[in-house]
Amino acid sequence: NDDDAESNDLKCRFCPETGGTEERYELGLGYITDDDPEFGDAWGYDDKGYSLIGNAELYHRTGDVGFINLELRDIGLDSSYLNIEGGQQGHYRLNFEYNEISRRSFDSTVTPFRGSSQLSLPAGWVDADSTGNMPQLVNSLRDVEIGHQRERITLGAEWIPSKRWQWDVQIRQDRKTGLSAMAGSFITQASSLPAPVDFVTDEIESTLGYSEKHWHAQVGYYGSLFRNADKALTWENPYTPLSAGADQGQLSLPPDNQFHQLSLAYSYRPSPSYGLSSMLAAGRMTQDEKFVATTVNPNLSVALPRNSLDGEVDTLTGNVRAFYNPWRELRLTSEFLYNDRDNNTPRDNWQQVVTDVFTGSIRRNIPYTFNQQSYRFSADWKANLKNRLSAGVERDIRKRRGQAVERTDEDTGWLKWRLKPGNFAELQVKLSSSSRDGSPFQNLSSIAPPENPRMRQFHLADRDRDQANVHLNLFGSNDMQLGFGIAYANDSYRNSPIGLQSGKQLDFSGSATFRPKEHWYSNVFLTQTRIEASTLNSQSFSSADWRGESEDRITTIGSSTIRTGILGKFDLEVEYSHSRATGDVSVITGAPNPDFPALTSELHVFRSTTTYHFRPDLALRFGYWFELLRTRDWSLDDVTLTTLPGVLHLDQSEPSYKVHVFMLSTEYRF
Amino acid sequence: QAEDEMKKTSGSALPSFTPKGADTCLKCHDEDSEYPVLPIFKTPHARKGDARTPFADRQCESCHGPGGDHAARIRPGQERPPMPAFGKHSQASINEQNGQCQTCHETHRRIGWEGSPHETSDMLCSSCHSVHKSHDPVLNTVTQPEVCFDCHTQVRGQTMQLSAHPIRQGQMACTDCHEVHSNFPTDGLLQRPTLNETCYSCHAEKRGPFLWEHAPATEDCSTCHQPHGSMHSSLLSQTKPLLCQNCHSQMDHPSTAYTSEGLAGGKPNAFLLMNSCTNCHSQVHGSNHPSGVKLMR
Repeated sequence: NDDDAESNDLKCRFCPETGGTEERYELGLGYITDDDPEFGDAWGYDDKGYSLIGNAELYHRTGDVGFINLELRDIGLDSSYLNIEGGQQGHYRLNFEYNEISRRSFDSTVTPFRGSSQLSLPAGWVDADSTGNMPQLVNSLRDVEIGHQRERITLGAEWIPSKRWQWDVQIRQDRKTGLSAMAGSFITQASSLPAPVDFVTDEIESTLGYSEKHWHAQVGYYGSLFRNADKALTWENPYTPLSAGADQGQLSLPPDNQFHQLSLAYSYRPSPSYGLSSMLAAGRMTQDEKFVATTVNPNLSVALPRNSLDGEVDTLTGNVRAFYNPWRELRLTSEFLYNDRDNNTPRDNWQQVVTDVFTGSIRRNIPYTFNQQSYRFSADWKANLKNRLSAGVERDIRKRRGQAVERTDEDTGWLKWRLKPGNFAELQVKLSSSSRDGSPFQNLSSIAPPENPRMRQFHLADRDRDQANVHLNLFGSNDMQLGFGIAYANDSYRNSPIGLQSGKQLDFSGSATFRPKEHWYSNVFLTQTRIEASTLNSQSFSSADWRGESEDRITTIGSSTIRTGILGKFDLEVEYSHSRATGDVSVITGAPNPDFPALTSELHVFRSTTTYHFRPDLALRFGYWFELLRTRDWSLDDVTLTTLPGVLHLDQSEPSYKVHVFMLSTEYRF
Repeated sequence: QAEDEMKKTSGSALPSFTPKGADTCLKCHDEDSEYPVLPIFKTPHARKGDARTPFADRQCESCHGPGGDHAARIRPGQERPPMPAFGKHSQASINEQNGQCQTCHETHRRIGWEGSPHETSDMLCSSCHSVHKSHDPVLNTVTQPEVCFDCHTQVRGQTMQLSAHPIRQGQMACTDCHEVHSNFPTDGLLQRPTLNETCYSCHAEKRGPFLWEHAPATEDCSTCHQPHGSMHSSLLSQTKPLLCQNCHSQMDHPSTAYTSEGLAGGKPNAFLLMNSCTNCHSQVHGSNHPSGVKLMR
């Protein structure tokens, strides 16, 4: 290469100027045909009628390394997004980001309760022993929208003082406001309550990295501080009190808490033949919110053993992964994962007052501690240019404190074969099998009333798990790609007289993408999933006497096409997708009960956008969007406000909507 | 720099660099070529003032490798030699191609790449990244999921379920939860060292520690939830009350068989209908109420 030009001398007469400004502005109106908040969930649409379409992008680059970028999306909706960033590339970068997400859980919900964190019933409310006997119920209802608005502000900075050092920081504030549905009950008389959501989470994350030729190190700090403006939710009892003084109840709301974590990551790769990467993170969670009273029943005064929890959990997470290639075709990898949650929260005896109605037993809190260690070893052999074989073994050990099974050991073995006969196809097959065994089961005296001693909770139970995955990709001309995948998993719980017996999942996926030209992209996809579960339980508190089975079947299909530059003037985007889910449930007791009606949901989405370019810098855009959602859910079907004598609910209905959205906008580009 | 990397990884002799760098390339690869390359001049890679970029070095050949043979005169009918790195007919191996990117991008938040699931699945950097596009789709929240769904088709289907994170709506990207370059080498390629810590980033109200903990939830959110989407409410993996009855068998109502007899048209049952178990036990992530041992307060 003696005759090569020195890179420093390279000019580029034909290179476009890298400095300059790109701008794009879009302004228009959208019209929504139906008033359905559930449709607007996360999209940011709300009411029927007109909405503003406003999007903007600005990218400015100076002749050297300066830059300012601005991106603004959906300014007329409840899901707007703004990002501004700027700096000197290779030296520093600053950014500000704002985005909001609107989540709407239920449509057309109603409640007789008034207020926010102190819920009261309207004047003249007459309590009763059941919802059907509450004379003021229907006349006292008010609309209440269960959902929340999440707003997030992020400030970020990155500084690269030299080629070896890099530092960045992100400071975020996430504010969530709205209402959630919570349950408040007096023994078996329950109410669904609109609970205030006024959460603020401040996060700070910063890393400092240092790089040498063969190794990299990084230290980091992550802090998360959660604050809740409301500490408790008090509500008037709409039922006839079950005991004197039980005319109101109180729930605790999520307590303020903090998490701080320091991390250290290191990688060392002196040659392509061997290297390692590792990470160690030590953190502490704390929570010391002042407790609410044991009960708000004035007749049941109980002293607290402490005023706040002084909760403290130390976490330690680590990972080491090392690889070694003894020769070019073989790679050996070993990995160790460590995850420890050491809960140092003090233990006390807590006099229970059962749902503000009567004094119960004394219970001792059990701060949950667990430890996980995983050891993994694998070998990857490139047999030839077409075949690659991999195999691995793993052992996962989990230890838990205060659980019915205090230790589980799971051993896994897997095989993977990859075949690449040429540039037109690749096939991957992976088989794995694992077996989990636990330490002897023990009855926990801390649970009252006691669990059936035959119950084995599925995350602790002895289990055999077999999995198979097959993926086939075919590559044709014109950048056509076909992909097929099958995944099968079968869990069998060996020694569970009652509890989950088996779980199976079968997934099929197929997709095709087609890109005949740079300005034309099409795809089509299909996914099918079947999930089965079978559980045994005992209502006689002895051997299994009933079986519950569920089977979910989910199919999604979709296709989209993007074609730009049609006749030199038009761009077209068309998308259709459809999802259908069916869930069957059977509870088999020996009695002649029919199966449950199927749970179903069906979603159709059609979207199209046509853009006409008057000039290279000016375009008119028309969009049409149709969504249809239909669901059937037997847990909500025909359940009116008085169907359940002991549950005063919010009368939520199955989500269902049919919405058309029309959009017309102009786009200007500089 | 590029030549060093390719020699190091391939160990074979390489052609020479073109004498005029990008000027040679752009004679053919102009805005009329089938796959336009010029948008790269709107990207950070083309900023010559940043000494780390390809255009501060050998320009196009910093990444694509020496193009002397590719750009040389060929006889009529002779096939033009391919560029050493990148492209469908590249002579370079996956390690060589990715090595070109790692020359600069192996540091900071990508130091766990070697041995990570995407690396061992033979993923090319260019499988996800489009460095010639003025705005790489995988770096944008709205367009990123489409890139990931090319391989993770099953997840695409899950995001269209009745209960799902707002990915379909363009409000969340896959990288909000997943660290695809394996900065923290966790199962599931997560942004934070554990699954629960990842979930708590947005759901800090469920972090606690609480006075009364629900141990399975404290240990692993996915014991009950399907994070990519579910046909059941609240991303639950199974319908209630069966989901709860997989673990709870205390005498009386936790272990009772709730049959279809309890539907609204029969003998409506509060343990089955509306919110089922959570009609009363709604503090399933833990309670900080002194009387909350049953997660009812």
